[in-house]
Amino acid sequence: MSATPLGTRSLKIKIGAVEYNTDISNCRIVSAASDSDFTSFAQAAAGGARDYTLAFTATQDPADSTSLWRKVFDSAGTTVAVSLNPYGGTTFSTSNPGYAGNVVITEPDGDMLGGEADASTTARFTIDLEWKFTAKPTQVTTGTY
Amino acid sequence: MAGARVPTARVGEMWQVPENSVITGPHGTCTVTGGVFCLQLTGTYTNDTGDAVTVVAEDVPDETGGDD
Repeated sequence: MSATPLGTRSLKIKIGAVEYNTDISNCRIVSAASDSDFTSFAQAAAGGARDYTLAFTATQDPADSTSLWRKVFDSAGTTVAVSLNPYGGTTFSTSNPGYAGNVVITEPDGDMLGGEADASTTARFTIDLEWKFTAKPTQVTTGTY
Repeated sequence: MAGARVPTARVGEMWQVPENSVITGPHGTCTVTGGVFCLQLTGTYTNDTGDAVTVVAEDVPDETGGDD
């Protein structure tokens, strides 16, 4: 039986050295079969090579040079570190594990700027991003978030 | 003259590097934004300002002795 299933409100995420959980919704690590042209016997024996992607939705803020939208616009093609903290604690441990890795900043396939009109004063234009990890994310059980 | 000792880190630790560093290591070479780089593979990483770090597996055996 699962003793500590993840809630849906606690996740924190750092991209580079900056926390962005106020700018991100619908964040997940996605695993898929690799589209690599070469699969080693070791990978085949383990079920096949895998690719890992950080998929998330972020607010659009072109005016803020530190925003995720500006990272996409200014730095696509570079690598940036990511630290996911799904339980949201301040120190990583076996009961509060984190998942870290490096991803390549990539422009979205689709909407880059703007969106549909909405009368709500709290609605925001968002951008859906999928950044590939350079390797399977590493589980972190020591150190601070 | 003896070379400077290369610091060690464990797999999964973040390495603080200057903005837009070019990092070379077991993963290959990449340009890193955001001021940190995740050390995911064992081996030695260097950046374009001459800094280096050696990454060791998390469960390094204790070689300094201790209680049996």
